[in-house]
Amino acid sequence: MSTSISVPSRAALTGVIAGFLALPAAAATCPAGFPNKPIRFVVGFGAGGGTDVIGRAVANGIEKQQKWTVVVENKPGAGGGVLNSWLKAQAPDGYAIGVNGTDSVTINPAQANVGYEWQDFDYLGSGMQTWYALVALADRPYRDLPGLIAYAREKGRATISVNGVIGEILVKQLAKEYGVNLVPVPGTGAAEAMTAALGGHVDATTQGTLHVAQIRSGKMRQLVSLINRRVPYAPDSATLAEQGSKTPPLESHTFFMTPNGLSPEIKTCLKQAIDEAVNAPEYKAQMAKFDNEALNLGEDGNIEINRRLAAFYKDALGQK
Amino acid sequence: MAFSKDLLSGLIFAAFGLAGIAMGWSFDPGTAREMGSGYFPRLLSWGILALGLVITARGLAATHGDKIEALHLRPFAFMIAGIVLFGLLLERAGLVISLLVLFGFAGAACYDSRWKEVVISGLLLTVFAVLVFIYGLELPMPMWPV
Amino acid sequence: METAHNLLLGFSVALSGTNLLFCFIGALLGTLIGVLPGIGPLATVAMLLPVTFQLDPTAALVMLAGIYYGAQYGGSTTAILVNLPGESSSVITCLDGYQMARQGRAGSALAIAALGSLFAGCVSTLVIALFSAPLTALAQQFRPADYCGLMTFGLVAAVILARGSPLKAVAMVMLGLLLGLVGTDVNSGTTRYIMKMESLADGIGFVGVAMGLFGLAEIIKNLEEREHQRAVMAKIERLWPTLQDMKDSWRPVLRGTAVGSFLGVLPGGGALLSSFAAYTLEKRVSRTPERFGRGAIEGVASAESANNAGAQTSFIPLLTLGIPSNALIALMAGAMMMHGITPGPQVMTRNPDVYWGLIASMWIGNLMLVVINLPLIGVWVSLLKVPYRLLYLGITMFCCIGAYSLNNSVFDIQVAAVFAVLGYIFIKLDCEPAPLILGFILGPLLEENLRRAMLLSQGDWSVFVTQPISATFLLLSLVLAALIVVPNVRKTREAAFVAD
Repeated sequence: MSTSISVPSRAALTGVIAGFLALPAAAATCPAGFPNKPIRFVVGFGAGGGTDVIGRAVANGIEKQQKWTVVVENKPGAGGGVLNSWLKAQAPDGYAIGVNGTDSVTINPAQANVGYEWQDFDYLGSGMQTWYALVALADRPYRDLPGLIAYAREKGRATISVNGVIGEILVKQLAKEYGVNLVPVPGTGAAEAMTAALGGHVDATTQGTLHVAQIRSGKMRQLVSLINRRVPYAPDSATLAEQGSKTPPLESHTFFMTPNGLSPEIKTCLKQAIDEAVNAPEYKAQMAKFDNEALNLGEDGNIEINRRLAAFYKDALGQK
Repeated sequence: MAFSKDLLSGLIFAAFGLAGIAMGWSFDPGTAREMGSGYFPRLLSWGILALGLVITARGLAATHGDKIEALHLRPFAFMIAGIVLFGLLLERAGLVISLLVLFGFAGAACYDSRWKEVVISGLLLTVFAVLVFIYGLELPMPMWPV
Repeated sequence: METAHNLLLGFSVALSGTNLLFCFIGALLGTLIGVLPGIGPLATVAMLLPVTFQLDPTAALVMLAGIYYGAQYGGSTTAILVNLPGESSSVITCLDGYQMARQGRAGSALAIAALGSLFAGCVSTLVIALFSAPLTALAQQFRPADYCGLMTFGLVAAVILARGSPLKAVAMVMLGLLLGLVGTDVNSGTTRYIMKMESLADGIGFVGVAMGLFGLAEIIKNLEEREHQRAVMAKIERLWPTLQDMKDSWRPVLRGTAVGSFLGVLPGGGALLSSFAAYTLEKRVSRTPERFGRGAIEGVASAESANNAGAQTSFIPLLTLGIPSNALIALMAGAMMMHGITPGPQVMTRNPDVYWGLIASMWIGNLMLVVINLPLIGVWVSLLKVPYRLLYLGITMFCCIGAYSLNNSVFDIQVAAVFAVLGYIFIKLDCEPAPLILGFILGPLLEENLRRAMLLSQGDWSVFVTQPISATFLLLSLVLAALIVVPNVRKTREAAFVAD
């Protein structure tokens, strides 16, 4: 399904308005006369998804702080690819801003000839990192990564349902690093992977968000944090590096992008506006509700990650 | 020899099966344990081909199979042409003109059409469509030529 | 006791003025949207989701749920009236519902669909309130191999519901499966059979296929006949079901509700199969199976109650586990998240008002659907009094715009045109489209579960017979397949006796 929907985001999130009233309006340094019409935030995933939530929350913040009009639309499909193809063809005037994930510019081009690469876009900043984790049912005999590896060694293999290519490649890396048979079980996405794990059909699963509720209810345990740090809802679960693994942590951010060739003045202006919105207390509160944190890597941070991961996935997926 | 329904449908299935095999030639079949993108399509294509051949054979064997009823070219050709043209025109000529073209062709497809009726109901339906789909549901299609 | 208390809390929430209003708005919008082919509940919910962000969370969820089952119901209206299944779940309703309409019994079909849906909705709401936990546990027993078994069963059932040659129906199912694979393979990321058309990368759209095969092909066939020859649609005798209709329908409604309530809980494909499975069951237990597909009210009653029950119980995995079982419910999960409610097992304890309010509102929503729809039956039926030479112009327009509205892309209109051609050829060759449609829907699901099953079994095909659930379904499929062959044998023998 993909629908193009436009509804002003000021309709969204009325709950946070009250807090904003107390704040002095911030203002980014912008060229005279920009913006002179509504700015479009176009989200690469459907309304109601994690990316959409971030896009709307940031758009809402910008509207309040900069007094601009920001319209949020959705262009879902092909793992954010539909948006990227469309955005590449738009004018780089700063009025069309894509909201998408790191995977869409690093994994998609490595998988198939999609007609765009990460270099085709300018990056204005990001709003959140996805906190990936490897989780298993709480009654399983292993509590951490070495435990799972030992289990796999003893049983001959361990099956891990994965939430996408990002998880599949990670499982293969771990299998190679430890020399054990870890079988990634792919499917249509995180929900299916979680169902398989909850039903006990697989030994563990890689997840981005669904696992938090399961950990909180005591059904599941986090074996290892797949990002570069521990997370607040599973403080005892160490990172890959802390558990002695050399496999690099996963990095996936929700960022804001425009087609290449944005004028430096407008770029500075938009970068500031996004950074102010991401660092506003209301946005932080919203992220806390999702058991996550506001995090803006800025332009350079996103470029660095995209460059590194695009090369990594091209290598791992063996194309081009 | 007249084509019976069995014979022709068998041939059509066989053709789909063959097309599935040919177009899927490059897909990686993988193994039963780790199926690639070609495993299931290949399985299906061969199955369709085999069934198609069986149905064809049955059609050939039957001495007086079901004859295919006469095709009516007029409703078929005009309806399909109208729909295809509507699809080609919609984003260029806009909803109003493409709908009128669609109704013109669709009207010509029916043996009982009375032109006055087609024109009047076509116009009414067009107004309805503009109100519901463009103003009501805000579908992103142009109303007039762009 | 506790459940009673909770339900009471739910009703007190759901019966509040605002929630009642939004429940009504949702059911009404859903009905209207469902009646327009193409724009299904998924698109509607996606469109309205941002609007609901400013509502209170219960009101938002109540309204979205109303749209969901309202659209399920509205989709059956077009299936019955003009052979247009707007949703995969109403494909089966077309089979007998449209035939009933052609016989002037559209009113009965619509009323039975409404009443059957109401009953199914009420029962399945109770099922959600009482049996969510055990049903979830049961659904979790379903492994990939079991899904394969279930789907095989569904596909064999699809062969049964075809009237013509079983061999052709099998070929149609397989062709449907193959067409369902067009697009990007989720496992490898490679595209298959897209013939260099980027628009096919996400697969062939269901609406284009359904509009072409059912709606447009049927129009072309009907236009072959001159007006005076046409099987009359005109003489509509009554708007209400007869007592006999009611008597014929109550058992199918009960069985349909049971089948739908259970299958709906299975994530990924369960709800889709419910109307197929319920219909097959009715045809099997009927003493006059030959009436099916020719306007048997049992067919409409069972399919409609099953799909409504399934639509409702497919909420269970979201409520108990926080896992959305289909794309639409994923949107609802998104709506919960926007309101700061993490979908999952904690909702029941942390936000009992939302949880039980939503459940109670489903009950009320179903009642509202009937209140909205029963008076509308007269309106719909009077539409059929419009001479066909004018009516088909409108249907054609809705098909074309409906196909476009799926992705807002003209490509889907051409897809509809291609499938209209195919559908017309199939009609001419006595190949029924329903098995193809079921194959088309299940193709990607079957392939994926087959792959997962084999991956988990390390390439051992015997999992399909060693796992009890899968083995049961395969056995049932075999029995069904045998039954397809046996009546033919019996009929030949009967014919032989008559000849004596």
